[in-house]
Amino acid sequence: MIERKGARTALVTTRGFRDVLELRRTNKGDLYDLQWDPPTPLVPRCDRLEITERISWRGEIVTPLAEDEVDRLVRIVQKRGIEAVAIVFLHSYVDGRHERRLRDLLRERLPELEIAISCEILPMYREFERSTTVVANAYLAPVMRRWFRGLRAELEQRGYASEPLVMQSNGGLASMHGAAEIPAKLIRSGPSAGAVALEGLSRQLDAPNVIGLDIGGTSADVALVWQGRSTLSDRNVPEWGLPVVLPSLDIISIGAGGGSIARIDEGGALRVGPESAGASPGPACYGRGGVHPTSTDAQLVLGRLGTELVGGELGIDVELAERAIRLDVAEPLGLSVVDAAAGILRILTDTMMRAVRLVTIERGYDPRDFVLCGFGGGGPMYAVDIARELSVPRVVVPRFPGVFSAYGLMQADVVYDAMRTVLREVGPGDVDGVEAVLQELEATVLEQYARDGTPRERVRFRRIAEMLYSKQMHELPIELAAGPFDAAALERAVADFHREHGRLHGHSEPSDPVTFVNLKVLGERLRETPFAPPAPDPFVAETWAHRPVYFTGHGFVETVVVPRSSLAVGASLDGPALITQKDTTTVLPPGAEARVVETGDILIEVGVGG
Amino acid sequence: MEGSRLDPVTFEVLRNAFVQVCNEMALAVELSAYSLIISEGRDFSATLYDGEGRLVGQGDNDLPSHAGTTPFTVRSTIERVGVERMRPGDVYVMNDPYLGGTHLQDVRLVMPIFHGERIVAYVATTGHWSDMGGPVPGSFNIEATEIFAEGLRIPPVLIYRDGEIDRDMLEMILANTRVSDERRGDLNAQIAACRAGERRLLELIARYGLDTVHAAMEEAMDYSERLFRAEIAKVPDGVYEWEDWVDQDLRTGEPQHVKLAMRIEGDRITYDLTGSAPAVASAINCTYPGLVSCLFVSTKALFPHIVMNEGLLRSMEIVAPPGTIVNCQPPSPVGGMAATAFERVIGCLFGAWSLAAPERTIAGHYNIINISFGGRDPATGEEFVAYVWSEGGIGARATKDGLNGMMSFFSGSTMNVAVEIRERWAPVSWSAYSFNVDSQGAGENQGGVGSRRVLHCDIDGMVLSAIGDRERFQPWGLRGGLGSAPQRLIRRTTDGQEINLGMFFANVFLEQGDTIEYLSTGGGGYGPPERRPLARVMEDVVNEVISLDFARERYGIVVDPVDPEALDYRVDEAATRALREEKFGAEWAAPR
Repeated sequence: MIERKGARTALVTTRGFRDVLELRRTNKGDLYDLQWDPPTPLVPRCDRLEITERISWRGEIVTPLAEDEVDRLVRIVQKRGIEAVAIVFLHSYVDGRHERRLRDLLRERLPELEIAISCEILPMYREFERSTTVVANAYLAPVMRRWFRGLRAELEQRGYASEPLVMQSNGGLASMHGAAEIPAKLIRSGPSAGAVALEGLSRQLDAPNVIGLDIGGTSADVALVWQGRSTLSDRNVPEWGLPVVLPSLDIISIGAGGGSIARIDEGGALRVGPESAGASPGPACYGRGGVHPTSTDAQLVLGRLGTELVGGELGIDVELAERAIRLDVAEPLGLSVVDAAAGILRILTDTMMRAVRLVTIERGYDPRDFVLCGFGGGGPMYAVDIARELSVPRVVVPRFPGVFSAYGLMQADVVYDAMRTVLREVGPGDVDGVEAVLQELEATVLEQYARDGTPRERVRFRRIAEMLYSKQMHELPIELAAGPFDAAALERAVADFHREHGRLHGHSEPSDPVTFVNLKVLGERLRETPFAPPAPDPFVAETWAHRPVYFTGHGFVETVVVPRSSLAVGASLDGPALITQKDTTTVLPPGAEARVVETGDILIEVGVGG
Repeated sequence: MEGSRLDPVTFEVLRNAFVQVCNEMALAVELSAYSLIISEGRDFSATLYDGEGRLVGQGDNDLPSHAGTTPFTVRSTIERVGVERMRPGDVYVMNDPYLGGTHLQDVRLVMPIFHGERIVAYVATTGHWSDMGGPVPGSFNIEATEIFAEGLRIPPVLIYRDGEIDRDMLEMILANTRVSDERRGDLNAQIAACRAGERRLLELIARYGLDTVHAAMEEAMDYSERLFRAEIAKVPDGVYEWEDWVDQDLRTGEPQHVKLAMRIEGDRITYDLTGSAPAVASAINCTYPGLVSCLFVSTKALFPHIVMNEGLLRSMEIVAPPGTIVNCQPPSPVGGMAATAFERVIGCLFGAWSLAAPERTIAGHYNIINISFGGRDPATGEEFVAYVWSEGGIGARATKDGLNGMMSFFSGSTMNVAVEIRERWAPVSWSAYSFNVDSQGAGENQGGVGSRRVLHCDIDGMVLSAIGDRERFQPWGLRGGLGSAPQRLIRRTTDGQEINLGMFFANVFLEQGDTIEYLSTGGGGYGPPERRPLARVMEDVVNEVISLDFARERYGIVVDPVDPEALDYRVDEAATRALREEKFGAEWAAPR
């Protein structure tokens, strides 16, 4: 999608609304920059077609669908070689009959055409966001189907007989068959698998609240588990201005990682990222042509990275790192190379800290109630420093930090979801309408399970109402009580909403009317057998090395370097120390205390910094 | 970083933290406000000041046009209230344009932040409330001859103390505004935001110490000033002049002149508005804080890397004779300033800069049309007020085309409101929201295209008001680029009448079935049209962003639409050659 390599797609809209997709929300990505450009729409104007029809927000047909205009659409699809069509009519989330009718008419004439209609993919109000979401699906579907077909054939050829499962953004798997229906649900599947692993970790450690910090080479992802559950968000933005609104886990990505480049800007201030050296040329110390200093170079200069990284397979040159930092940062600022390196890390740590703030403090969560889990190649290097900045008391470094997301895939199970905008102001006892919609949504989900051959007994539902004060525009998701939606459940939902609003926004308005905007159900397939983590690795007695490592407030300190495999369950280690393993290095500054808990994970009391 | 008082790392950390204080406040306003304009349209801002009321920072998505006025807001609050009367936890409200407002609908809250006994900083939030009273629903009253006819004017007064809203003041405000329950929700959201800002700043002070935080504020301002002066020093010394006109003073029908002379000497810049028209008795005047904001944000747009704060502001010298349309005095009316005098100053500034540094600037852009309507829905008996505004085409740039259908940069954070939402909030509907084809200015680089909307009035007795501009004096092109089309606002009645309502009117009564078509214009072109490559003209033809007539008349390209369904358009080469030779001379007979 980012590379615009999807299928040639047309969009059919209500007459008069051809340009909603390109007018977007009319705001700018960079407020002041006159040279800024918006993203190219997935469907160019020539392929945005209109048809006469109109339904009001009350569901009345204002203008019937002009079926005599369908011939022209068919001819256009044929003449231009259009592979996929997205259909988005105004207010179709209230009544989708025109969209369905047009789909049926097109399908009759063009059986091969991929058709995505908004009332089925996202029956949610706000025409722009619904359009981009449905268009993204149409755009991806033919490509994904082809890819899945190839993969399935290959798997079958190699003797794999079951239905392959695919990770979705919502933290659950889908059958490959189901995933092909709404491929945009896969857009954030990678980070979402990491969040599933976090949920598993939360259960195993009996730590209900976990912040996940996944630091890679170019970016960092922050996710949250609250009371044992990943927090949800509907908003994926694969590219600025192209929202894809589908259920997903709430994960924030920022451009900060091991490859983030440090530089002095035009005004003489030190900046780190979002520019990244990536994997190629990579940090200066890799000696592959990178000349600008990165955070990895700073880590190396400060002694936190040894040549043992990835089993010593990567050649690493400290002198190249020092040279890059000296030329680009230290000399212009009049600092020593070491102070410059420490400064680079502090700024990067601060950037990540602000991302963590965004999902915690700014959403009304107190970081002191959390454990911070650092994973990815870089997470364990920064986790303790970030935890201290935010007063998070404990850090955990999981057993497989470098492949933690893949570990999440092993733990995930199938989740199908469905939602609908209802925009219903609810008075006391006003429950029947809501219950009816919830049941319809559950029936939709069960149909998907039926296609996979999963019996309904194995499906457990979560019900979510997105609510707001009737004059507001931004809803809050409130999980509804299990069981039928009755007067007591309504009362509880409304009370939960007032409380959540107060927690998040610092005020609540208990006397103002409340509206249910969207209803949503998540149907989770229960595992037949609970996930069993692999047995802990065997303990290997190895010698511990020492080398000088820099810590803020302490300068260089002689520090023990411990291979993780030589720390048995129950072992403890006080900072300053480095714990090394093939895929990462865990940095324990002075004052931090680590121990290996029964699950094999390393739990660190971060203590206070110096 | 020579001469700085802070180590560069702490400075960078705190500078980012200041932006985040504002972002956190802004988010609190956006997520919980009750006015559609704020929550969905994002017409609001959050800003941070030092203990003297100097602007330290704004957030990433705060409405630019507010930001430049807010230092006046905070200083006038300090002056009028007096620091000795301020107490921890107090919040003050104001909207007086002369004391640091914009138009009356922009309601500002100011909160002093105490550290012990001492005020060490201020935070402010501004939100556009959908009505501030006066004779026109939505409070856009072009016919006002004085500010008293524009709505409720609030000097800085206490609104919140000891954790409680001042009921008397609240009732006073609510009694003077329409749909007043929305006002209460907006106020609560803005107060909560100020308190979030206070908490966050106090956290920073606890973590880094007051002296360090103050040093970073100081350094942030110095840093912006240093950057800006270095940029100005690179621009050739000289006087660069530009002029433009507001279409009319409604009283006289006469165009109103705005004139700017930009003087650059070394690293100093002066904006001199001497020669601009005297203030008039209709709502197209701009106050001094409004003018400063305009110069401030437009300059910032030319140098987007410079952080917006007092350091940039104090690096500009401003000459604006009092009593002119760009520095009007009480009680001149100001409600339409954002669509008139303010916009013309932006145009003059970009125009003047096009003479000094053309690569930084853009050709003329569309002009916002403020449209408000209100009434009572007979189906529900409920009063409604709505404010809608227009996006449009942005001017072409030295190296590329302008942007299609977008807000002007001074309100570049503002978002449109979904038709699917609007139609639920008032008894109206829309039958079109699309590009206004052919509205853009032709050029080697073409202006962005404007927008077209058609609004249906679904009840009797709704009143409609508007303040726009650029029907008579259109956005201009640069360096041979052409100007764009006139803006229009047309009423069509059920009996077939077509009435041009123009850009300036108040309280026009509509009948059920009337439609209102509002057409914003595109941006001006950059460079002579004959230089535009054929491939780009054809791309616009295929996409129907320009018509076949436009291709022929502006670019001399004659196109034969062989089969539009197959996107088969062909250039009639002989006719094109002949036409281009006639229009542009033999040298340009063959397109590039």
